[in-house]
Amino acid sequence: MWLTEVRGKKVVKADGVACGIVRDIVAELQEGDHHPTISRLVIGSRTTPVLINREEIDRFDEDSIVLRGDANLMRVPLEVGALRLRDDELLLVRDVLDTQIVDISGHRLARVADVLLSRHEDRRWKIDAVDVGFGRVLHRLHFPFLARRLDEELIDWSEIHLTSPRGHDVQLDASRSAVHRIPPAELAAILEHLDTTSAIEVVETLDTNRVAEAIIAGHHSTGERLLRSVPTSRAKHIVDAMPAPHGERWRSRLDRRPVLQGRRFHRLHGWRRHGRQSGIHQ
Amino acid sequence: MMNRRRLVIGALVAVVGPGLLAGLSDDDPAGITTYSVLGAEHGYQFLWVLALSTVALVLFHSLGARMGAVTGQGIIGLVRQRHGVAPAGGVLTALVIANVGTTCAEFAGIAAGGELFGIPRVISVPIAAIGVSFLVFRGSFHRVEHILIGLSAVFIAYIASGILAHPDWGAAAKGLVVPTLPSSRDAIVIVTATLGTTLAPWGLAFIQSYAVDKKLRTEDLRYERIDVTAGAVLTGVIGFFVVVACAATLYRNGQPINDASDAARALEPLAGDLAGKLFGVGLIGAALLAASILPLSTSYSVCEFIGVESALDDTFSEAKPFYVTYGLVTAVAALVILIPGAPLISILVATQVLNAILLIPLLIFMVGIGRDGELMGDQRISKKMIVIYSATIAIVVLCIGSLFIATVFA
Repeated sequence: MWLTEVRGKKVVKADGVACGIVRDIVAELQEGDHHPTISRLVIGSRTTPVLINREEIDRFDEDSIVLRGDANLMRVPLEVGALRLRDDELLLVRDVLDTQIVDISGHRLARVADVLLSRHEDRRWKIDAVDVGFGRVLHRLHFPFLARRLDEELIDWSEIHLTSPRGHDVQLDASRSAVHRIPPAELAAILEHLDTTSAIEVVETLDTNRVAEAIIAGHHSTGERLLRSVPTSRAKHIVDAMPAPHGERWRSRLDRRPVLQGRRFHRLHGWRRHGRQSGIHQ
Repeated sequence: MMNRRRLVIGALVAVVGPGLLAGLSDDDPAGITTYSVLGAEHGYQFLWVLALSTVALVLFHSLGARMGAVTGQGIIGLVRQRHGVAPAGGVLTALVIANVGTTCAEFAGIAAGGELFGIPRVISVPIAAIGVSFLVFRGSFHRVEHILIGLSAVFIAYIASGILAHPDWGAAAKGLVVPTLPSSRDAIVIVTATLGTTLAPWGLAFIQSYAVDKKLRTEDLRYERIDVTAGAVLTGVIGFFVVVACAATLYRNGQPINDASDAARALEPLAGDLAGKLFGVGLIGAALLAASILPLSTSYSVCEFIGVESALDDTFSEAKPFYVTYGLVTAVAALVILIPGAPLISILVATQVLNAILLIPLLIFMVGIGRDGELMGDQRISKKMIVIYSATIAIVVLCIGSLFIATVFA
């Protein structure tokens, strides 16, 4: 079942009375759980949302979601128009759908076109994967005949790192991010493509040795951008963790051009000759 | 003290680019034509519109650069994230069509500018298309940026051309600060066109995506504001000199013109051979700059929509959609100019209309996303600034609405 097909579905009580339509879905991220469980549905309008716990749901029909007879709907108190979520909860439409993610296995940035949900053996709905292909986008735009020509591009949920503010925080705060498993060269490639703020946030969650390895493996301009953006003490620890010759080179590089604030300006290799190498550029 | 000054200058030099390029590329052949007609047909009286456009440019280009630095995403990517694929797809489709049409206008400018110097379009247009493609396909981000900023120096030609025309500076100053409301349909058209040519949808999309590609950080924003303001003010200053050059010569002599190359030809007997030649050089340089940036803006936007954000530093194998889009936009635009009997005027008029229509939703999306606390954090637009942004959008809507009404009733 796709998230975009659940969104907009009618929610009805057991007696057939309509309660509203699905606006969003809340997922619960728990330690060691590779596929987060769907915990609640958000129905109603943006200003007066209503949360429905998963226990209140009886079944998913073709065109509606049917609640149990004794379902209890929680009207949510609003704080500046935002839903109050627990620290380990995530809104799939707001925080995942159409946001940028880091595909850990493909070590690239991608955008979520849809989220694949499925019912597991314990009868709970879980997030299996995200689709980052253009086919799902065409599907959502009501061009199924064009979408058929394109393959699905599914990435297992355990292989992604969210970059949207809330998703990023929820993943990293609980140390669930798959970023920790990326080899140095691949991590370097990801850091190069991320904007500085997101890259720094990723760097801040990794141990010093991993960051040092990634900086050695990546392009010096990316390393310099990051080292000049983290606090000086953190940068010093990262450089200290490098093998002696690399550490020496980085110390002199960081001492050399304070005037440019670490931005790439004096790039000597202005033209690509044989494609950019992803190896060591020191 | 000296060190601090070097630090500030260094930081400023490092962030310069997005504002300067996005601003100056608005002074493209379509822009120069609009300014030339404004000066040649109405003299100095509507110079205040340029001042107003410059303020709008500073406001919205600053917002674009800020959104890019804070979110790390271009406007199309953010529209998709916040509003879904349908609104983003609609905006992208209009943007791509308008950008291809505008790129045609840039190559038409290159063709017209070349012909002023006796170079036929079958030579100037393919050379320009291959040149800008080579620059982007083979150059790294910083090489591309340095060359484009270097190319911007050609705009000095317009300033020189304006001074050589010996304008009435008193009348120009009065026209700049004392607003005269347009009363005829032609005047409404040219006032709206001036606003529309300065604040272009592709420029707005470009500055945000380019700020992302440049990896600007939130800490860079105070220097980036200087870049954006300098770019917008220079855009306005160049427009001012084009208007005064035409007002001092063509308007005084009652000589009508149809485009910027007409203005260059007409200037020669009135302001001297050098003024006309400088006008022609400026036209070619402006067209080349915009012909490089428009396909780039399109590539960034397409990649943001399909979800494979790419950067100028990526190789072809890493960023095929990015380079294919760039190549296609350039090739289609160059071919249209080379096809004998192509309905160029219809394409350019339709493009201007589409740009004007697209501008309103794009500005609304920008302000909507800019005030979104979840995306922008403490960099979101303040309540006071929302009033200013809304007032600017209201003026744009008023201009476009007046034009629509004037056209319907005409």
